[in-house]
Amino acid sequence: MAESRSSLLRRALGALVRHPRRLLWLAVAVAVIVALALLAPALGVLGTVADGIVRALDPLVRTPTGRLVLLNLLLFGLGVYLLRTLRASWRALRGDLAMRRHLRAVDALVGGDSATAARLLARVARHGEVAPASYPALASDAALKLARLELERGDARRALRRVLDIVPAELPDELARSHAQLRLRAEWALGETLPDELARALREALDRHADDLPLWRLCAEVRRAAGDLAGAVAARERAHELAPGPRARRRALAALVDEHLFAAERLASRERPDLDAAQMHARRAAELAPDDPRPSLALGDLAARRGAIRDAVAAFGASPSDAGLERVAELLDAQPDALSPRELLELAPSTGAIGLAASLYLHAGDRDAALRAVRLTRARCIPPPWLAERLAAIDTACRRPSAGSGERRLPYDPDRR
Amino acid sequence: MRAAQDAGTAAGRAVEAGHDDLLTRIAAEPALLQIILLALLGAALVALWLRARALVRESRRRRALREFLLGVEQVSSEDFGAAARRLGRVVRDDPRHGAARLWHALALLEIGEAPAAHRELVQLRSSDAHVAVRSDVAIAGALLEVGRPAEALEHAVRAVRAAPDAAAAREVLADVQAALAGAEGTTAHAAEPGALVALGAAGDLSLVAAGPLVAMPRRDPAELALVARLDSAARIADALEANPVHVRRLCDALAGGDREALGELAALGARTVPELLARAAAAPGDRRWIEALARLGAEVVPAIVEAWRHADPRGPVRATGVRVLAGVGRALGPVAQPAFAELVETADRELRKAAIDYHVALGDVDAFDGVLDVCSPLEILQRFEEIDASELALFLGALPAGHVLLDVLLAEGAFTRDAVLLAAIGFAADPSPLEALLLRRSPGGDVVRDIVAALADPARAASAGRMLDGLGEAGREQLVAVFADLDRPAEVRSEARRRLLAAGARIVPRLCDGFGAVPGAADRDILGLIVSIGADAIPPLLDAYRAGGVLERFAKPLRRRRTHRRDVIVRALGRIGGPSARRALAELEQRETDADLRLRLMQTLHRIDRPDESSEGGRVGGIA
Repeated sequence: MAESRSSLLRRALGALVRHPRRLLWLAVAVAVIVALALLAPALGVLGTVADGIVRALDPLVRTPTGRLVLLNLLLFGLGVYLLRTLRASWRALRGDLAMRRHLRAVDALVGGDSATAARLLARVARHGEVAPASYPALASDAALKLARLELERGDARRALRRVLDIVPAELPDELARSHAQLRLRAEWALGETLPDELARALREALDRHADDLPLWRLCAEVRRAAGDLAGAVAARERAHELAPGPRARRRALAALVDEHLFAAERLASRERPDLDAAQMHARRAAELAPDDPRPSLALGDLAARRGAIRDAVAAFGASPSDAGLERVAELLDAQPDALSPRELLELAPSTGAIGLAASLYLHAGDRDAALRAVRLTRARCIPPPWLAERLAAIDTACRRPSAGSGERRLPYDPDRR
Repeated sequence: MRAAQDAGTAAGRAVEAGHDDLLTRIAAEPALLQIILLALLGAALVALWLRARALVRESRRRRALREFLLGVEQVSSEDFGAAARRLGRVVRDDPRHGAARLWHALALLEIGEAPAAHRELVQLRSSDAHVAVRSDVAIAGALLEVGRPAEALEHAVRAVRAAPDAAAAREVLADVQAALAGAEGTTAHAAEPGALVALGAAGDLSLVAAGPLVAMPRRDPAELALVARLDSAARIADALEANPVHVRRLCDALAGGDREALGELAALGARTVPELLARAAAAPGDRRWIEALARLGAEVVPAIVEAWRHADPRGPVRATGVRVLAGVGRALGPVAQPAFAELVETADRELRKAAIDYHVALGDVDAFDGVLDVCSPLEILQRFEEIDASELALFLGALPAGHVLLDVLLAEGAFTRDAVLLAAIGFAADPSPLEALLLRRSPGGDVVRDIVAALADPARAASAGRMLDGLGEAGREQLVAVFADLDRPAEVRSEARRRLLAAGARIVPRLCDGFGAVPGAADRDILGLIVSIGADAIPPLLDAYRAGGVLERFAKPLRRRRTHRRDVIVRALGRIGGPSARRALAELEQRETDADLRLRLMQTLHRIDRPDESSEGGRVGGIA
C-alpha cells in the first residue's frame, strides 16, 4: 500500500516536472490558496459590508414603491454604463480608423506617392478631436506631415496656416522639433515675416534644438539674405559638423563650399571690394572641395584682379576644367609676355596648357616648338572648339613662310564671368 | 401508514417548493456556499489575469505604434540619430514590423551605418508595393554607400520601373549611374553592359536612350583628357623645346629598349647628333646609336663632323667618332656619297680615313676614283690594312681587270692581306685578275692552305685549282699533304687526287716521300695514286727506290733496318706491270743486297711473269 502510494507520488512529480505549465498552474493555485488564507479577515469585512448593503436595501425591497425606485435606479445606472461604453467604443473605432489612415499615408510617403499621402493626411488632420489612445498627437503629426508636403510643393501659405493651427505646447519633443522647422521654413518661404522677427524665432528654435540640421541650414539662408556672409558661413559650418553620415556630410559640404563661393563673389563685387576676405573664402572653398573647379576659378579671378598673373594662372590651372583653361588663354592673350611657355606648363600642368603654350612659343618665334605643342595637344585630347580654333590658327601661322602671330587677342576681363 | 403519508406530504411540499427548497438547502449547507464563493472568486481572478495581460499587450502595441510614428517623424525632420535608436528598439521588439525596419534602414543609411542598413534591407520582406519601391531605393542607396554600385543598379532600375515618376527612385538611379561612371568619365551604360541588358529586358529602353536621368556632375571624357594633369611639366617643356635634356631622355629610353624613341629622335633632326654621337662613342658595339644617327639622313654627316670637331680632344667622341661616322655612312649607303666625297678632300687625316672606309664599304669602284685622285697610295693601303675584311673583300671583288688598284697598289708589299684577296675572288665576277695578283704576290702557307681548303667549295674549287696550279711545286706539295691527310674532308682529298693525277709523274718522288719507315694509314691511297699514273711513274719510282727516303738519307742504318718504303715501291711497280716495270724490277733485283727485298723483288717479277699463279700476290706492308 505504502509502495503504491510512493509510486503514485513519483509519477505525479514526474508529470509535473515533464510539463512545466502544469507546475506553473500548481504554483498559482497554491499562491491563491495562501492568499485566501491571508485575506480571510479582509473577506470578512467585505462580507460585513455586503451584508450592510443588503440590510439597507431590504426596506426598499419590502414595499412596492421601494422596489420601483430600486428598479429605476438599476436601469438608469445600467443605461449610463452602456452609453459611456458605446461612446468609448465609438471613439476608439474612429481613432483606429484615423490611425489606419495615417499609417496608409506614411506608407504612401514611403512609396513616394505624395498625392495619396496628402489626401489621407488631410482627412486625419481634419478630425483632430478623434485621437487614438495610442497616439494622442496623431492629428498634429498628420498636420505636420501634410505641411511638409505642401512646403515641398511650394504652397508655403497653406503650410504655415496648417502649422500655426497646431499648439506646440501639446506636442511631444519630436513633433515640436518638426513644428519649429516647418513653421520657420514656411515663414521664410513666404517672405512676409520681418527679418528680425524671423531671426529671433530662429534663435529661439536653435536654443531649444541646438543640433537641428535643417534649422542651421535655414539659419544660413536667413543670414545670407541679411548680408551676414560670415554668419551664413558659420551656420553652414555648423550644419556640416552636425551632419550625421557621409551622405549628409557630402550635401552639407557642397552647401558650405557654395556659401564660401557666394561670400567670395559678393565680397569681390562690392563697391569697395574686400579682395583679401574674398580670397580667404575662395581658398577655404578650394581646400574643402579640391575636385571642384569653381573655387580655383574664383581664386584665379581674384588674383587676376589684383594683377598677380602667375597666381591667377596657377589657380586656373589647378581648376581641372575647360573653363579654367579658357581663362588662362584669355589672360595670356592679353599679356603674352607675362609668362614663358615653360612657366605656363609648370603653373598649369595640364594637356590643355600644352595647347596654350603653343601660342607662347609662336609668340617667341619658336615655330618648331609651337608646332610640336599643337601636335602633342591634338594627340593627347580632343580639344574643345575654342582651343581647336586656336590650335588651327597657330598651325597655319607656323606653316606660313613669314612669321606672324596669327593669334586672337582677347582682352581679359575676369568680371565677365 | 401515517409515517408514509407524512413522507409523501413532505415530498409533495418539496416538489412544490422547488427553488426555495434548493436555496434553503444551500443556505443550510455552509460548506457548499463556501465552495461556490471560492469558485466565483477564482473565476474573477482568472478574468483579472487575462484582462491584465491583454492590457499589457495593448499597451506594448500602442507604445510600439507611438514609437514608430515618432521615429518616422524624426526621420522626416532629419533627426536621424535619434530616429535610428528609436526605430531600432521598435524593430527589436517586433522583428516582423517591415515598415519600421525600412525606416530604420533609412535612418541608418543617413548616419553612415550603411552595412547595418543593408542588413536591415535585405531582411525586409514586404508585399506592399510602395514599401517595395522605397526599399529598392534604400537598398540601392545602401549598396552605393558600401561601394557596390553594380548591385545597386539592379535595385535602382527596379525602383524606377515600379514607379517611373518617383523622384527618389530616379535620383538613386542617377547616383548609381554616376558611381558606375567613375573617375574615368565613362558613362554608366558603357561601364555596365549588364545594366543595359537589364533595362532593355525590362522594356525600359527609354531609360537607356535617355541617358542620365538627372543632372549629374559627370565629366565628359574629352574634357577629362583636356585637363588631365601632366606628370612632369618640365619634361613636356623639354620635349616641346627639343632641348638636350629631352634628347638625353630619348636616348635613355632607346638604351632601355624603347624603339619608339628612334622615331622621335629622327623627328628632332640634327640637334640630336651630339648626344647620339656621344652614346655611340661610349658603346662602339651598339648598333642602335648608328641606326639612330642614320635615320637622320645624309644631312647627319656634316652634323657628325661638326660635333666631332667640337668634342673634347681627349674624350671618347674624339677618339672613336670617325669610326662612328664611317658606320653611319655604311648604314646610309649611296645617299651619303656626296657628303663623304667632300670629306675626302678635307685636310683632316681622320676624316679622310672615314671617307676611305665609307667608299670601300660602298663598293662603288667609280666613286672610289675620287679617293684615288686625292689620297696617296700609301694612305689608301694603310686604310686597306685596317678596314673590315668582309667589306674590303667585297670591294676588291668588284674591281675590274686592269684597275690601278689591282695592277699597282695591291701588288705592293705594304699590302699584306692576301687572305682578303683570296676572299675577294669569291665575290669577283671575273676572278682571274685577282688570282693573278695573288699568285704574283707569292702567298704564304696560310693562304695556300686556304686555297686548298677552297677545293671543297664547288664555287671556288676551280679558282683554287687554278691557283694551286699556278703555285707550281709549292702548290703540289700542299696537294700531296692534303691528299695524304686522312682527316681532311673526302671531297678535298678527292679534288687533290685529281689535281695530283693531272700533274703526272712529277709528283711521284713527292708521293714516295709520303711512305714512312713503317706502314702508314695513307699508304694504300698513295699507292693507288701512283699506280693510276701508270708507266710514267716507273722512272721516278726507280729513282726513289735508289735514293731512299728523306729520313733514310740522314740515317744510313735506318735504310738497312727499315725496308717498308722500298717494299711499297716494289709493290707499285708490280701493280703497274708491263715490260718497263719488269725491267725496272729486274734491275733492282740484281742490285739489291737486302735478302728480304730481293725475295720480294723476285716474287713480284714472278707475279708479273705468271699472273695466274699468284692471284693472291701476298700483302706488302699490309697493302694488297
